[in-house]
Amino acid sequence: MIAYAWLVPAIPLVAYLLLLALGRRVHEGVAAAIGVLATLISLVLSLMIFVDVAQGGGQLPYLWTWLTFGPGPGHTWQAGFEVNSLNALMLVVVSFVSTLVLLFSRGYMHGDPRFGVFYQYLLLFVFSMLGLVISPNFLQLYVFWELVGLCSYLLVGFWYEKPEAAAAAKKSFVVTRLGDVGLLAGIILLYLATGSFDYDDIARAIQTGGLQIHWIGPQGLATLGALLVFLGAAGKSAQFPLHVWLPDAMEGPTPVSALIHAATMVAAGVYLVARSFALFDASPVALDVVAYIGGITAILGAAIGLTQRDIKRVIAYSTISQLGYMMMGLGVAAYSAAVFHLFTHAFFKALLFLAAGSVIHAVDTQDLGRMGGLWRRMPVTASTFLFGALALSGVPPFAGFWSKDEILASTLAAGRPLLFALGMVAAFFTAFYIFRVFFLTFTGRYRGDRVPRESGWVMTLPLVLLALMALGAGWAGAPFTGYALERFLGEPSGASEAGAGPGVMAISTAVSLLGIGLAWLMYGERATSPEAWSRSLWPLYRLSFHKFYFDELYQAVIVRPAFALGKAFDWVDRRIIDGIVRLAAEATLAVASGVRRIQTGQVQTYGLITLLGIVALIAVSWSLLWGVRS
Amino acid sequence: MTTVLQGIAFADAWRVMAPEMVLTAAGFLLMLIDAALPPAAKRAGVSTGVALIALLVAGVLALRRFGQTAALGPGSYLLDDYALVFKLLFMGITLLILLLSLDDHGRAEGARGEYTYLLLFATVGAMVMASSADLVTLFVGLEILSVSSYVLVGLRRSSKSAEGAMKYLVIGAIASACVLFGMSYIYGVTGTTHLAEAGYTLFQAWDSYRGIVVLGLLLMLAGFSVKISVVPFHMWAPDAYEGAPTPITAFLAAASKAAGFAMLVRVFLYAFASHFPEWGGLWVGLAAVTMVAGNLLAIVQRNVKRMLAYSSIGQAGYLLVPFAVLTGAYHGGNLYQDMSALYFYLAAYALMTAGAFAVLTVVAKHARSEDVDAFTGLFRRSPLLAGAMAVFLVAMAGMPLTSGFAGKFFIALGAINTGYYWLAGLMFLTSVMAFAYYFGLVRRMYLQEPYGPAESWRTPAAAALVVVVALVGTIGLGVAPGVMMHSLPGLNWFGQ
Repeated sequence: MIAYAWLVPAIPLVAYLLLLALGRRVHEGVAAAIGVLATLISLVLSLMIFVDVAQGGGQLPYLWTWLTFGPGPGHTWQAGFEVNSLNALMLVVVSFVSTLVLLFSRGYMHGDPRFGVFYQYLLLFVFSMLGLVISPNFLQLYVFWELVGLCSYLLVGFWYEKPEAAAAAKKSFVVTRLGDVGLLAGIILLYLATGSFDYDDIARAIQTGGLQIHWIGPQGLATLGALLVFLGAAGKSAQFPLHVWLPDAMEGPTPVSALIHAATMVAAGVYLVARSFALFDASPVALDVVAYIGGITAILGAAIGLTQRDIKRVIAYSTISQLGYMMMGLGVAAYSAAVFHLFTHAFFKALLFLAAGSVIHAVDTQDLGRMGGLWRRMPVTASTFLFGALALSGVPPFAGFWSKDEILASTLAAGRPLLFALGMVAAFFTAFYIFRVFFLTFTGRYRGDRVPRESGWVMTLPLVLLALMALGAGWAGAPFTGYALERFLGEPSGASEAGAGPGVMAISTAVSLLGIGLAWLMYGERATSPEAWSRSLWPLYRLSFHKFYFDELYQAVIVRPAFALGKAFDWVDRRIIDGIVRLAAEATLAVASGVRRIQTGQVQTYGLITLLGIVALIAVSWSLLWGVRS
Repeated sequence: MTTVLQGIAFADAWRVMAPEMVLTAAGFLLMLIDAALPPAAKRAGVSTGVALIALLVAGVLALRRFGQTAALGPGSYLLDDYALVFKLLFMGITLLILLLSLDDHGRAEGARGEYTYLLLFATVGAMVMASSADLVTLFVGLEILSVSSYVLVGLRRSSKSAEGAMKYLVIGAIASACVLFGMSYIYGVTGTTHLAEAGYTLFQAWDSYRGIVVLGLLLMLAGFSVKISVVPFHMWAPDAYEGAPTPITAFLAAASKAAGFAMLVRVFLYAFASHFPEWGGLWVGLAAVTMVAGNLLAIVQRNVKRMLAYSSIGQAGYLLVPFAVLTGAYHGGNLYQDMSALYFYLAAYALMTAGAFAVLTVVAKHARSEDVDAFTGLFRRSPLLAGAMAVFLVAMAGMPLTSGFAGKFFIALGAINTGYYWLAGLMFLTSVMAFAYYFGLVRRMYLQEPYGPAESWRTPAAAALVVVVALVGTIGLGVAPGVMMHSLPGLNWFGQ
């Protein structure tokens, strides 16, 4: 089955082209049926591939030569696909979540005038993401990397008539581009130095030291290359300081948030670091950077999530924070723990988003202040959200508990108590903010004006399936199954693993229960007033509520100077460059009309010109052959 | 020389020149049919059908000969992969041109029979040029192609057509005279018309007869340059292109030019290779002048056919580059790589030219005009034609993911590898100029409203087939150039 892995992305592509051909007036049911069917086939194929890999291991990449422009392997670029244990797992995750999200969208986007277009974009995204996952080298990965970025842009700005959505789409595109520039520079640098785009070839070249450029040594190259690649990963995975686009991207339709901005695309950065782990492993500095950026992002996202009033933004900051955990795990060389967390997080975070989407669909607002008491009216949504919240908080035996604990234990094992502490505090915050959302949404008195109703089966069925995964997905890597997932993934050389001991498990369970308890006291039982807390801790509260003023900071430090610089360049461009260009164009035209005069239409002239041409040739040859040689 | 002909058995001749024989026979058959059948409307269909079948048979015969080498006479007529790839190209182009002519009934009704068999004879002439390694057979091939082309250009019943044919004939005659005159010098110095032998003798005679050799070489060069419309020998091209029936224009731009290159490379590689580095700079200069002048003049044209004519002159400049860098740095260059780049671009160029002229044929028929205004708002009238034309135009300009970019890329790479950085730079500069006029047309097609009522235009099936084939080729070769580029250098080019 592995030899046919290219079918997995190809089928959504075919479905995309089919919908494109059908046009935007296609019936909603037809569009949804085509979309769900295509992703379902991809899911089945992915599962078959996964089973094959589990039984027989990964395969060498299937490659064909795409372009040759000189002698030697360095001048031949290859395209193809590759299946190993890491991306077999990713294929399953992406196609599973995609299928459910496409099904969910049938209900959520019902009645939208551009329903067909929405499915087109989603299918294009699924194709790009699956293609990214099975890319065998950096070059091909970069192509799909940009494609998923494009789809994200299109889908965040799907309701482009809303100014906020258009602005958010632009912001997400520009900020991730910043990272992409780093990634591209890193790819080019590694290619120049090693003559290859292949992940393993590059790592091997660095280890053996056979570099083709001389201004940098193997160690320096590993550090510089890894950091540049990480810049791209940080942009895509919304890591500090490039995290600012993800909350704004919540302007997109909620299924998009679930699929792209929770489960798949934002995890692509983590995937990239994991896939090129051999490169990072060669540079302790780069690993440290990854670890600390991850740790900072984890605590920062969780801290901001504490105070936000928009249900989707809380979950978005939670995503940032969880991605931080994964990066932190990779940074302390806990490869399979990070991938494990990526795996479980995809399910419970997609669940939280879709459940939030179900709520938003029912009450038509995202403001937590106008929800409440939905437990009775939307029992399926509420209970599945609870599953997601428990998984996110890390309460055993839910999925998040196992994976998060493994990362935390690994920080300790790697001798980084600071990271461990950051992770623990973030875990406390996480439990608090997600149950703050839970209690504000589902308990107490309903504060909105529209009568909420439970969503239909197309929306609740995905919720239920994801809830089951949020409960059980973690068991794949739990001690009582003998760390099955970790064994499946295998450890790349250099990765270190530490199973969570009972001590760490007990502490983290206690921490998350503490957070849940505090949230219950404040928002469930109302035993203590949140307003009083925010008043007494007002500097911290303001800091969190205003997202640590990152947007304002970037506005002042980057955006405004950039605009000023842009104005200056604009002046130069209009007055000087354009002048030169216009001059060149005018001159070209003048010369052309001048030369055209020779084309008189008189055949005698043509003959004369031909003769003059021969004379000129003779003269030139004469000077070439008998002329003065210097 | 006199004994050569007596010694040729039919089996040997069939082995070496089977496709030519099939096409010639088909041509004569068509002449008979033309005389025998009453002038019914069916006649056009019959003759085109016979010609298409002959082309397909000849194509299969050519394909079966790949990898073999043989010669007729003492190596004056060769069978090698070099000849075969060019023959396949000529036959493919002629096939497309015939399909394209299918809906042209109304224009040249009385001349249908001769239209078809002249096209076949022209193709045979081109094929003879590709296979010849002897000055005499070479000249025969050149004249078969030229004379057929003169008549074909004049087939349209308009004064423009007659004018174009007349100019083509006069300048073509001058070219033929130059070629013959040059050949006579070479024969005078070497005492042989056989290219390889002449090359060996010239290597020794270079020092004592340099003046005469160079004069002969330059005269031949000038004659060939007329065929491939190199500046300043291009003057006939715009007038002949404008006057000729549109499919014939496409034939001149694609097949005739490719034949010129096939002949040029063979002659100069075989006969004059020994002293390449001493005068190779000449080619580089010609390539540069042709690129600049062709693209420059295309900017100011208002007739689409004339614009495409000048653009094809510019393309001839690009096509000269691989040969120029080969001659300029004979010992540093890679012959097979450069030949592959040249052939790749010729094939890519032939496809996009056939496609563009196919679109032009349909548009001109509906609009009754070949002015750029006919293309205004084409997107509203026929999205397929507008989209296809846009692809062909940006391919000619060299947009990535089209065959035009891949071809230019390989050519520029060859120039860079041999140190001609400025030539590669000039290619990019002239590409920028090309974007100016191509995008002018694209903008017209998409962003402006059509003149007159916006009725939709139907595309005849045969023309649509040509457009689709060209489109698939243009995009296919652009996305996966390796498919063709990898097999070419491995060919048994010159039978070594």
